Amino acid sequence: MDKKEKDIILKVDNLTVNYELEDETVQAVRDVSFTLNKGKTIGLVGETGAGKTTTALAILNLIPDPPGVIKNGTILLGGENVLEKSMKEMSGIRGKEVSMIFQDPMTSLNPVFTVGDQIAEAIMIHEKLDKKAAFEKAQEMLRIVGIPGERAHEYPHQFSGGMKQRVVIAIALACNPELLIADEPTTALDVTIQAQVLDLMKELKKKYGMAMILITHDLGIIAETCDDVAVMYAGQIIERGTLDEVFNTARHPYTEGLFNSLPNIAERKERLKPIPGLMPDPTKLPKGCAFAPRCPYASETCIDVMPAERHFGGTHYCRCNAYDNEGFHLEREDIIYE
Amino acid sequence: MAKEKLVSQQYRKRSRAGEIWHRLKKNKGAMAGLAIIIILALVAIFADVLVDYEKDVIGMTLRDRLQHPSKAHIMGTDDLGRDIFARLIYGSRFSLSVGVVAVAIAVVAGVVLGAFAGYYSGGIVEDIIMRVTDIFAAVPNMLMAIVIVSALGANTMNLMISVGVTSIPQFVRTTRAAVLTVTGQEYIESARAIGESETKIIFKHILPNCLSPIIVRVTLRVSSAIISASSLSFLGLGVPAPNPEWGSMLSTGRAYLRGYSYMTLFPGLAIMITVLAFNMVGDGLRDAMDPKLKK
Amino acid sequence: MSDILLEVKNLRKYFKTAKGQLHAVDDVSFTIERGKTLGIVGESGCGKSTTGRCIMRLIEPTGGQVIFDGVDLASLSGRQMRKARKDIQIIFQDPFSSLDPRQTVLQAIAEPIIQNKLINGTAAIEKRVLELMETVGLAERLINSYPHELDGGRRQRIGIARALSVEPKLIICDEPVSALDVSIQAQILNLLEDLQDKLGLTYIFITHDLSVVNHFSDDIAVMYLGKMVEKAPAEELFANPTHPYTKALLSAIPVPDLRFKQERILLKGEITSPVNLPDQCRFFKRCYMPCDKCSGKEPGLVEIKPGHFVACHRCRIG
Repeated sequence: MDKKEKDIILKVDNLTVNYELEDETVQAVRDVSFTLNKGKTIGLVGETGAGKTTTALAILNLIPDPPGVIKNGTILLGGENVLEKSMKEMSGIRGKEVSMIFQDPMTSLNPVFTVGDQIAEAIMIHEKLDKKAAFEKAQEMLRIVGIPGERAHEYPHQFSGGMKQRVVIAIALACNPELLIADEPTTALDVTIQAQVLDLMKELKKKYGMAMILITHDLGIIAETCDDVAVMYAGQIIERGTLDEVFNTARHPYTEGLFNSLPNIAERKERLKPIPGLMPDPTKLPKGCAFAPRCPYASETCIDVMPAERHFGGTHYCRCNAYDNEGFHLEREDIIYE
Repeated sequence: MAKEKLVSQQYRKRSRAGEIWHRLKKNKGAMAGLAIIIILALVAIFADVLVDYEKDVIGMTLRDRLQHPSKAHIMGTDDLGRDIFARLIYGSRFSLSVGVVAVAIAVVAGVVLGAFAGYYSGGIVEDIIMRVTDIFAAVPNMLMAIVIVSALGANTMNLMISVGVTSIPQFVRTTRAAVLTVTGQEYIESARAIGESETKIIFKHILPNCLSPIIVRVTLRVSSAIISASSLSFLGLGVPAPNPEWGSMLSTGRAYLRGYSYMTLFPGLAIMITVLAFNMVGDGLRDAMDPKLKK
Repeated sequence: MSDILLEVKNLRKYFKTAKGQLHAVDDVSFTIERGKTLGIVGESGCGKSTTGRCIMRLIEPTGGQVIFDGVDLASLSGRQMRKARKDIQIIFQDPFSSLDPRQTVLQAIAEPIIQNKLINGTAAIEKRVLELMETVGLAERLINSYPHELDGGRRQRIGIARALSVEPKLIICDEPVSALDVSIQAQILNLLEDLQDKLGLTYIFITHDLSVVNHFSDDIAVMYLGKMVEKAPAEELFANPTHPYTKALLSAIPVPDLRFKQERILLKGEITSPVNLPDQCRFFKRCYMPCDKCSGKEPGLVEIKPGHFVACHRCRIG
């Protein structure tokens, strides 16, 4: 087992995060566990409010406290628990071992500094380089992300959305992190620019041998860029496994619902099958399965008992009580390659 | 035919104003401030009933001068034997009225100008209004007030005018910013799409949605107007003697700081508490009106 | 009564900026038949939203004709146009900023009815509002709710109910589901489809999401930098995309199906500036398959197959 342990870059166990507000408590993340191997990409997919961003912030120990409270759990980064580190130690880790890219490139960059300065700043915090050397390295980073090095002297407003996102990526990769967390990195971009940026990220990932957590609500992006998938709903990971396991042999009714909601390019006139209802209020979560009220397969057990993670072979796990009945299966057929 | 209850009446909900009041009530500081303001307003209105103007406020009894606080005079007497407590009560009229009237002047002028500047943004109307506003804003408030009062004479009316005029720029800017933000929202386009005329849109959709920042600024501006008025009176440029304006009471007390500090203490406290009260209410209103604060 | 509900001829919208003329919409023409849906697709800056708004004269067009049910809208006076508005409605993209935060659901849906004097009497108006709420799937108990108390999907339904309240003939849907979660998107799309079947509505569906527009539209028009570069029936467009931009656009969509191995066409560079454009194919600078003619004059729309139009020099040849 030693070899396997060495391959693991991130291990999250039983993470539970609440936001304690004046009148109520938001259960943002509930008992989340997953593992990420070096050089691999895991996609964290879910809708608004599922808890994806909170999970990412927890890994960087950036949950605002107050009102955020980490109730339980460990986050082992390279073997060490991030949640037990001091502020100083975390500053050393952020940007160097773990970097994060946020969703909106328009507001991620500081408008009063040149892009070169912003990349150089990230470098100077972690490496012992003087200003000149750091700036040169910054220009090199720009070239790597496909922007001419001379543009390092320009300001963010002189770049388009797609280019700003590239600059953000350059800042994130400046110190060669082992893990990159990308929170909806292409949502705000046009589809052709999105294609360029995703392509760039794949290339860089290969070049640097980075592991990546890609947060998105777009299943298409997951299919293209990820090795593993974790589907989140109401603060929990309700299904996880490799790309093949989750996409081709989905087990959870919510996952099935997500696939059914998508317009199918092949069968264009087929009526969409949306999931009825809405995600539950995170301050008033039921004691059983959070998806039960919307689930077409729900039973009494589902409403009363919180489903535990069930193993479906390989690395495929799913939280669903319907499988208490032997022989239960989703309507969606497993996709089998000829 | 029996009148059926409207469905909308069956699902009664708090109106927006009600929602704001509900949030404000939770803020203890704001509620305390509101209580103080109400008491002050009542005192100012009924000042005539509470004290006798001729006897207590301006009646000079030199025999009683410079007496420390005692049972007969709970806040002592000033250098002319007048009861400070009585003067304080009567003085509330000046402070509150100057504060309110000055801000009223500023609001009317400022909101109208700011609304025009914001609605016709990008044109010469906006340019003219904003540059003139900039000029007014560049002159230090005190200086402007001194100039106006020196030119027109020191009395209560001119005090209100000068404090009012110096407050106009803030309202022009706040209103313009609010109008610009609201006009850029899609619901204004939506109103056009259903066929509403521009005038109707301005009064039905734009102005009502600009109220929040303006209301907050009003409450906060009243408190600074009171300070401005007091400062001007302190300098002798405000309400003339023998009227008991709090600021001029402060000024009189200056000469007697050593040994008779109560003469400055009480008017000073009065100003401070009034200003604090308005600020608490203003802050509370700002928080209560901010829709993002809860969720 | 002609089959054609809307005919747009040479629609132009130019903005004057400090740097020069911004060609937001340049010489766009199309027709839509009653009861059909035209999808307009493109990325930011292509002019699709501006086109939609110009049709309704929410933005005044610089030139061209918009003939709606036989009447040229551009020729109407302000007052006449306001009356005509009742027949063309618009559903906005952002469910957060498209509703007046001070209006309840009842007030928001009743406003168009009252404005256009369609129904009299509080009780009658309320009855109609409740009918509309039921049609769009809003629970009765939400009648006095404010927009900030509701989620994006419900707010969008209010917007749809508002648009329906005046019984329009044409509804312009400007990215109506882009701001919504995937499962809510599907609910709203189904609703729009049902309404079209029930009420015989005609839609212009503006979006950047090609999978959605494929599902929904009869015809699709692709726009780039203010020009229409390709127009075809939906099935035909997806089966035989001809313009290089259309091909690149289609190949860029990530497909959530592992069986699909996408040959991705990556466009080089960014969208060029729409200011002071020369008389040249607007896609030329980024095109990956130019021919000798392409650096010359601008190509016009040519019908290469019945109903399938393309604006491309190279595609004309062969």
